[in-house]
Amino acid sequence: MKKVINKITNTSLLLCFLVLSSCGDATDIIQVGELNEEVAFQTLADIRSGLSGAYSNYGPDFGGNDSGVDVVYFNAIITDNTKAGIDNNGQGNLTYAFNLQPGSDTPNTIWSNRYATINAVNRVLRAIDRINFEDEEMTEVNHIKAQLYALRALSHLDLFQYYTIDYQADNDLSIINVDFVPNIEDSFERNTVGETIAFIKNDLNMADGLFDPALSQANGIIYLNADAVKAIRTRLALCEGDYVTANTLSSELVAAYPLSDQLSYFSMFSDTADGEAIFKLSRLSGDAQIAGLWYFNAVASDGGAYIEMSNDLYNQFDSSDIRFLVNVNSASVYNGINDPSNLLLINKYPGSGDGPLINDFKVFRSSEMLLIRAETEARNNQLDDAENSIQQLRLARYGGAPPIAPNFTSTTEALREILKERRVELCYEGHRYLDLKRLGGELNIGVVREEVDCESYGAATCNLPANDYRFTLPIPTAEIEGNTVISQNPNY
Amino acid sequence: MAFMLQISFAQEKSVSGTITAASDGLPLPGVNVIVKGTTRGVQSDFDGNFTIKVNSNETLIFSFVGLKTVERKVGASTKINIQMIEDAASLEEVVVVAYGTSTLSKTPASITTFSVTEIEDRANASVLQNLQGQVSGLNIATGTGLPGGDSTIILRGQGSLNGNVEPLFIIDGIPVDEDNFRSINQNDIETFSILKDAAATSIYGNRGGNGVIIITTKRGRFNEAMKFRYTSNYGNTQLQDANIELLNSREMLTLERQQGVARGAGLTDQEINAISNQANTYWTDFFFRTGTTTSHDLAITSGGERSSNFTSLSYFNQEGIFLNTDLQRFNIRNNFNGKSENEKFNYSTNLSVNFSKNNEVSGAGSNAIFFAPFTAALRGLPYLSPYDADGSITRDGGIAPGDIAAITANQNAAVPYILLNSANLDTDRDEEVKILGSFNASYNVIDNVTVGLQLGGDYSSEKLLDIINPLSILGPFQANGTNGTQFGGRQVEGYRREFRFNSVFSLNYTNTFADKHTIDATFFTEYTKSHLDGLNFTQSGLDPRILGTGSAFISGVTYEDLDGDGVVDGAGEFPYIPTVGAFKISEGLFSYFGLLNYDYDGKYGVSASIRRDNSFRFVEDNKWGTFWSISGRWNIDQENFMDGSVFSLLKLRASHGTSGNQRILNGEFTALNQTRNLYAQGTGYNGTPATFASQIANIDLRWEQLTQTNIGLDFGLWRNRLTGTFDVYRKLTEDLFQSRPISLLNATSAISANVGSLENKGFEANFKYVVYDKNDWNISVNANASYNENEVLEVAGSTGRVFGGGSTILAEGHPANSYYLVPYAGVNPANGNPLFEKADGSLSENFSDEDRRFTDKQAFPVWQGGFGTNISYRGFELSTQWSWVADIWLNNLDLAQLEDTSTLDDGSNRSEGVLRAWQNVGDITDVPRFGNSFGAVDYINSVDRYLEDASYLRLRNITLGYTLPQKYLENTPITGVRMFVQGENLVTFTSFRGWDAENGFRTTNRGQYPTPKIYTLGITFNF
Repeated sequence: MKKVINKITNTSLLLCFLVLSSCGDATDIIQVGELNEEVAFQTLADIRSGLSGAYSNYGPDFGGNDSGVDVVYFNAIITDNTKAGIDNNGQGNLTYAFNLQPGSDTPNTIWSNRYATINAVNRVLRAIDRINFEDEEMTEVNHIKAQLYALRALSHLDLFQYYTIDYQADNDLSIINVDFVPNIEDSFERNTVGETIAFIKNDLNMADGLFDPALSQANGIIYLNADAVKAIRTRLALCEGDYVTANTLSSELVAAYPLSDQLSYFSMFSDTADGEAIFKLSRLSGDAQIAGLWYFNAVASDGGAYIEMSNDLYNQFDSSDIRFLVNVNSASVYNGINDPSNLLLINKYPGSGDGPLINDFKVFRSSEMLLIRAETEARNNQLDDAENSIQQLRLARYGGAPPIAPNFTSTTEALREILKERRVELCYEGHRYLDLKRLGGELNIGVVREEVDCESYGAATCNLPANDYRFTLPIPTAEIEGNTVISQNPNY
Repeated sequence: MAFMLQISFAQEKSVSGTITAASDGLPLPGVNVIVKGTTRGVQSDFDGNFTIKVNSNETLIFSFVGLKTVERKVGASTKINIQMIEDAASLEEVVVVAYGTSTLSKTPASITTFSVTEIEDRANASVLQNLQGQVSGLNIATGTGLPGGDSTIILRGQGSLNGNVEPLFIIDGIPVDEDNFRSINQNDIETFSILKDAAATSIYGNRGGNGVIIITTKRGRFNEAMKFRYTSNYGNTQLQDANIELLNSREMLTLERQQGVARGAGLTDQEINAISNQANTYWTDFFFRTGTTTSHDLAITSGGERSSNFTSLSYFNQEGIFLNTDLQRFNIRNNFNGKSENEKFNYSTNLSVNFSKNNEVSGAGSNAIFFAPFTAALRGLPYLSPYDADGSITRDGGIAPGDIAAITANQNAAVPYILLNSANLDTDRDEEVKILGSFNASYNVIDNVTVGLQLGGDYSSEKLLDIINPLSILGPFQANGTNGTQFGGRQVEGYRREFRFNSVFSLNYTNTFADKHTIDATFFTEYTKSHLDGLNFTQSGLDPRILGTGSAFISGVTYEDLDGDGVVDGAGEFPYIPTVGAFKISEGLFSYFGLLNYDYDGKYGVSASIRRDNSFRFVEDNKWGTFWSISGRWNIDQENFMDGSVFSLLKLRASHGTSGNQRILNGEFTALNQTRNLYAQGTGYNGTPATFASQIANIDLRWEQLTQTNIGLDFGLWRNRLTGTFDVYRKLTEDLFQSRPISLLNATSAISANVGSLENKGFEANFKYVVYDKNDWNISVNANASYNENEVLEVAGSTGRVFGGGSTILAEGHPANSYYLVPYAGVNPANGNPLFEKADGSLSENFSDEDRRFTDKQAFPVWQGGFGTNISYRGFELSTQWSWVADIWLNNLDLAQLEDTSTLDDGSNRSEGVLRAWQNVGDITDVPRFGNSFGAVDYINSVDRYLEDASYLRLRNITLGYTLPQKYLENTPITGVRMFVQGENLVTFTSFRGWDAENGFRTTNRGQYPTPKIYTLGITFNF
């Protein structure tokens, strides 16, 4: 009997041994390489890297092959600036046909991208609040915070412009203002126009107080600084109809950033000079390929051009205008006006040493500010001043007297001319759709395409009337599915 | 002592005798006659006679499968005649159950066990492919013809949406990787056991939710003479016919002339004639080939009184039907059994070492036309010549490496040349070493109490090598995407090691009371841990003179002035910087569980199991999952009132229970820490280091739970001349792993969560009937069929459906991922445009998402089954095995592209369908006019025009064998010779248009590697 008991004891011991040795190490497993928030952000260097992560989220130039496409592509395709390229096999056909649904690519891309940027910003700001920095670190910490606020403001401004129907209807719905890291269980209704504008301004005000001029200088124009904040304010002021502020700030910026001459203008777009740029997004090897929005492989006639310049836009250029050389690739084939066989290769982003499809994206340039100044002058019925502003731009671009000097007889005429000039100056920089929404809506100008361009897609619908509901993007399906209380824009 | 030995030695003598069967008095050939305690032994000959040299103090053991073993002391006699009687116990079918074995009459569970003899010597490189059509409810879909390619295995329907859907695989007690069977030698396998219901699988708790497949390898028997079995196979693999008629050169050129596009535009009849006579290429012939397949197997079994052994060696080599694809495999296995003198301690070891080398081809299913070889083979233009000027088959079509103009000319018409070139020059190879080892021991501590220990390991190390040759047409683009760099080519190499360790400790008590009450209770603990690690690199820029190793790598610091400005412009001008990666993952599980079986007099049985699992994937209260089952059986045939009935077996059984799934995503080493918020570092803005959020936590993640109810009947009639089973079941999956949408403010659109439920229900039937068994004839037939209905009960979100574009939808009340498409309504006779049926029933030339309909058609079959016949006469045997699936649907993109009439000028061929395209007002046809605005992908994504019935009936295997009569072997050491010819996939009946209706449960078929027909000739020697 004793023998039996011994055996049972031995067996139980073996069992216990197996149980005890096993349990924890098989079930409490943290993978090697897991980084949690406390460890992720501990030092100034970590915060610096958090800022870098936030910047890298922001991508107006993102997308490729008609997918994940942001504002640069969208503004070009849905308006009158492009046609189907020689190697097109369907890229852009839905957007070109104004097929804009809550499930479409671009409404989702812009919304996702800006809120992801905002999310990254808010996470770094939260970490900054948690960390105790040394006194000598505070200058840089503040400079980083300033950039984070500015980036958050810029992202909100983008969202504001695309998802708000009327920029000046203070009580209408705009976008969700986010200065926190959300919880996965939460739902959010959109803020009003008034709240959003105030929110953006508040961020800009906070940023202004924290920038360090010396660091801004050292960082160059690829980082947000006080001038970039001024440019954001200018765009916002124009949207909300605060033309006095827009006039003041745009004048200051034009003075601080003189227009590029022809050579410098060309160099600016091939990234060998900063030129008149106020803020641009640096793009290096491995980053977003902006020319990949038009080409599969390279900016060349055999580079797989699936999107080309429209004949309509091509017809706007004068050959002595540097903008012709900058925008139209020299390998283009022009067979005659509105000839269907014209091969019109987009050249604004000609590639760089970083890669055949890679260029920096210029977010703010002095010429945009000059055109804003012209608009505020026209709206204030200072038609001569508006003429001079336009002439100032054309002189720089033509390198001498332009063929036709502007001569405005009414504000409306001036605004029409400014809209045309904006198209030529700012094409493929993410402005045309917003210009037609804002200025076009006012002037009753929608999307009107050349027949030859329209036929390149075989699109059934060529034009989009002014003030169509599609000049405001739908709240994307993905947001509605995950956010039970948000309201959709009308007609979607 | 020496004297004694001499005497006993002297007493050795020759003993002979005849062995007959007690039942009918006929001689028994092949009976093992062994001297007890030695390995000396012989087998009885064809007439039941044997002769053996023994000492008079020794004992002879006579054994034969299905008969009771007889022991006889030699003594003084020189003639020993033996009558052997049937062993009722061993005649009963043994079934392999969870953590042990049982018999068919005793198990209350739904289990199909079948012996590998039914599929032995078949020529598929992956053993699992042989199971298709053999077991009701078990679906093995092989979506690739690559030798050794992976199959998708589904048992009783799709049980999870995002999580794992494949059954747990166990080889000799070791849980193994369900996606890797190419290294396993199928001839080592003794039985497969497919565990289906909760009674069978619940004991595997977390991992048994989708069923369990237990594979047992062969073993030697105790007291068995040494035996050798050698088998060799030789044969061919061939492409199955695609039942699509492609256009020939003349037809295509004429069509192009008619449309005024491409090469045919403006040609005269004479010119078309001339070109067609020069080249009429069926590109498939140049991408595919007849491959050879060869195998050699040697198995040695032997057994002494206290130990037995099984050893096998094998070599297998199969060439794929696509150029330069093949699988080579070497295996060695040793399975050893031992027991102590008092038979209280038993142990066994299994060890197999396997090496395989797999030359693969990537790009199956790809939409990147320069990397999609099967699409190129199907769609290459017929008027392009496959020959060089000297008459040899071209390797480049005259295109220089990196010549963009030539590559993209005529809408990329050169695609077949480029893919042929890549297939010939590039390397895509996997080499794998796989070691499976296990140790089992049990010790009968005291009467009725046994402790057991099982340790198992599955180790595999894999080397992946992928080289794009710098001298290939696409080689020059590999450094930075352009042909502007001096060096091209790319080498991607990866190494990975995987190790799974499993140990099970058990304590068993079994006893019978009052002769009728038998209790069998076991307590287990199980510990499982898996590790995966690896590293990889990608080197762009290879020196073409010395390809294959690092010697060819162009240094990362090499600068190239790509824009010719004489200035170093940044990383873009250092195109040869390699990228490297390394990873390490661990996972584990701890469980304890108990099993209780009660039997009353062989008539009634009740079983219960309970298991607790602790998964590393969940946190706090969600970590532990508890799973249980209860089941019972009634052996009706044992009742008194059944005396004298025709039933030899009639058993009713029922089970109900739960099991779980912890794999949030369908892959073992995935979703490892989704309960934690994580950050990552990488290159951020302006090339500076960045820190960013990489994962949003969901701390509420918990076990996905399956509840299954099963009622079944097992029966055997007329002394088991007719046997069969019938099962009905309902399987409910709750707390489904689904992607739950969250606000985009979280910087992601969805997280993994437990939401919703899903149901599978169906029935299964298996039959086997011996039609005729007299006069040396034996004719038997078998059949199985199953029906499974899948329905989504609840999905994430408030709309009752999850639809993200594309052809399928997840919607409540409909099968999971069923097709959701707009009906195609033919062609408008007035203008040749396609017509679609709108939601309101009207016809329109346009449609929107609102016009989509629920089709309730799925890429998984509702019906499936198989049937076969076995006919033997004397030494001849003929067996066939058919498999079929029905009510299964596949979106046919290959055909849609071949019938695309939105353009003709896309550099690729068309099929005969386009000759029906609308041309004139009033034409009634189903093919729209050329130049209409809907292309192939539009139909596939939104319209049901190419949604085809992928049901098929396939002659999976046919074998004709002949076993040489014993009399020819009498004076040779050989005891048996069998020769056979067999074919795999020889005949398929299907209305699906393409190479292969079997498509691995994909929803869309595009440019896949088709499964081949295989013919082999083989011979087996026993000695």
